[in-house]
Amino acid sequence: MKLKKKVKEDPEIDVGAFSDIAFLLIIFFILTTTFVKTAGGKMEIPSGSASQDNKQPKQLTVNLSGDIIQYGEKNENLDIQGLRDRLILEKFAEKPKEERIVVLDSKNDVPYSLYYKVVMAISNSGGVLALVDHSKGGTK
Amino acid sequence: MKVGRKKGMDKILIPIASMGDIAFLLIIFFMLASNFIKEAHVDLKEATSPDIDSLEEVKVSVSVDKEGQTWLQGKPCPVDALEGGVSVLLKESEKKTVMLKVDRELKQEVYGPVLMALSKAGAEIALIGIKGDD
Repeated sequence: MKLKKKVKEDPEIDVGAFSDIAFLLIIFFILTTTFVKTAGGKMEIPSGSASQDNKQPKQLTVNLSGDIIQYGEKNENLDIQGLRDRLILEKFAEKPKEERIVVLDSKNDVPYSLYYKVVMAISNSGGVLALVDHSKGGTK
Repeated sequence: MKVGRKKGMDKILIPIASMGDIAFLLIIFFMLASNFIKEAHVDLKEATSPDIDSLEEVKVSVSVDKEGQTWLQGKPCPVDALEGGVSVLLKESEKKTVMLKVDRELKQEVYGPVLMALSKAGAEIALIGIKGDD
């Protein structure tokens, strides 16, 4: 008996819609992606720690309390722009690192919005921050 | 009157067989080049300052949300454990920079200990904010 030869068909996967899916995915990625630009400033903090007793008399101090900025030994009240102007006059860029230290004493009620502006103004002028650690009563 | 098709006006076929390949190449590019934000779920309003510039992205990030909760790499981390956690991450990283985001309304008593912990961990702190005035 003669058997009928089975016609072998090549199995084919329909990939016609693949490109449509791929383009839909691309459109999804493009629409949902938000490009984040990170902006900020680095805090330059001197290494090591010292107690307030060892504080050098020439170190510039900025005191923050609530929304008040007090500058220098005379605790002169300034706004943020006034502080920027004073820091520019200090010409930190021409000084060695030891003379660029600005002691920032911030009280517990200071909002971060003010603290951030002051820290960035000091960093931008070339000052080196020394933070007062109230938990131990010294500077870091 | 029946208008016959002009001779030579055959259907123009654009070869689109390689479009799928191009699309997949684009997807692979997007997937490899994308960086997912680990701290997208942290609820905070960033502080502003005109004295800041754009910074390059760093791997270690710390956030303090508006409730005062501290987050390390997008996971909750108490302030007491922050120094140790950051030290470990910095050992694995080439750069010693840590990105710090703090909610603008928080008081110093909340963010002060965080700054001290990062400083003690030997981190170079990059304070993240938005460029501009209020």
